[in-house]
Amino acid sequence: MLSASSSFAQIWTGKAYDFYKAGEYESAKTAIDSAISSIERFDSQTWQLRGHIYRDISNGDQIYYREIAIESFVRAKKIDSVGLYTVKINGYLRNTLVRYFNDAVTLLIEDGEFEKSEESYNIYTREYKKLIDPNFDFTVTNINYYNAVGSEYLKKVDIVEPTKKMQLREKAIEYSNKVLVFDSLDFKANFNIGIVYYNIGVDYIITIPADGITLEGIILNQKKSEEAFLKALPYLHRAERLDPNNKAVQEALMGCYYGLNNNEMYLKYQKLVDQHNIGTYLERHNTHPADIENVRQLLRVYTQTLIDLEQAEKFKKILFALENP
Amino acid sequence: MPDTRSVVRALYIYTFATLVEWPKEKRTGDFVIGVFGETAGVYSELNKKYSGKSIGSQKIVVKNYQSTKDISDSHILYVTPENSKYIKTLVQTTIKENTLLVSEGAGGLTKGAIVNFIIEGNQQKYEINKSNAKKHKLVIADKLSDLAANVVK
Repeated sequence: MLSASSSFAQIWTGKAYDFYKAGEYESAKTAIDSAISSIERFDSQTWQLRGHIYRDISNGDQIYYREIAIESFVRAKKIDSVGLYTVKINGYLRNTLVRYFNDAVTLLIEDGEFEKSEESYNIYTREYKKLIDPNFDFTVTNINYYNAVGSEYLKKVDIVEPTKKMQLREKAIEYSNKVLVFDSLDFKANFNIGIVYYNIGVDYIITIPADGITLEGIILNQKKSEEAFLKALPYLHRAERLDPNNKAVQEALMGCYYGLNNNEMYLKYQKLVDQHNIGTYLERHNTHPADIENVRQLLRVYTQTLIDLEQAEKFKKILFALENP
Repeated sequence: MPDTRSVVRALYIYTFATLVEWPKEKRTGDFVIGVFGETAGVYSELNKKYSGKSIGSQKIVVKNYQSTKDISDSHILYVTPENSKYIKTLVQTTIKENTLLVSEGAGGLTKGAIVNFIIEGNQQKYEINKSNAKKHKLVIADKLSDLAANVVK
């Protein structure tokens, strides 16, 4: 790390380096801070070493030390007026800044700290542009990150109480829309938005309370449900165009058209889904012949979509026998 | 996939129970909602949500029938689309039981049903035949008629 070409004796820097190599980071820190109070502060390598020491003190996990590390690398670059170390220092900066990105991912996936995650992600992209490459293209990174945020909000919807679901769904849509600004044909963002609206449509129906419901309530909820299903369709059809054989997309479209009471389109997608599932149903029937729900599915498939009258008759008889033991 | 259609139909059927007046002799004992057809779908929804609850002082009992000969005294009888061919036959037996006969699909009212589920736009709605209701000695509340997609006098 330290080269022999230094223009003056690096007493403090040398000591700091020895401590650093020995893994004695606290002593290394004291020595390097003495170095930058001495004439050694005019050597880029002193600041580079300071950056390394502060970065490694807590594996870069403590933001305070990380910021000092970055400051030190920036200073090292500034002093290196001929650009002798530019490539090297940029590498150090990159390795240090990427920890903000790693933090963003951990905060998002492991801790569910959405706001802190985005804060960390924004530091990463902003500082990267400022300190390393102002022209760096973050499009792909942004797409991956915002898609991950959208997906995490979607996952969280399943585990919160019903009153909080809508807020999380709106967030999922917001972040998926951020992706669509970068790439309107991104599969995941289109699919996620479609799924959110589909689930909203379903919830308007299945959460209607059984007691005290009025006719007006049924009509109003159907209207809201219809609006949500209709909003889902363009996103899901776009996802379908991007991945025509995707079962999850076909299932969502099937559900939307079922909810919209559009039988023709519902059966079209039900058939596609059944083509994916028929093998599983038959295998299940072989291993669990008494699974009545599975037999119902087989009867439905052979009656409605993959029509086979002989098979339909066979499973009708099996179902009857199961229902009337 | 959640069966949203059956949920809506079951909810409608329950509200019908609150907006129809049965003759005095039918206002005691259990309140029977029958489903003639498959056990999945509407029957399952009704059973899950309303079995054991009450309409006024009457306890709701949800029954499933697989054949016309099994059908007994019901306050409401919902006939699934695959059994709609039996509606004309069922009219004869349900008139004397003052049953609210509910069907689904084109021509249900003409065949003798009192309420028929239809699709209008993207939504499930219902139509009513008041004349059929009268034959079954049932009084339909104005609200039920007012919100129907179609009313046959």
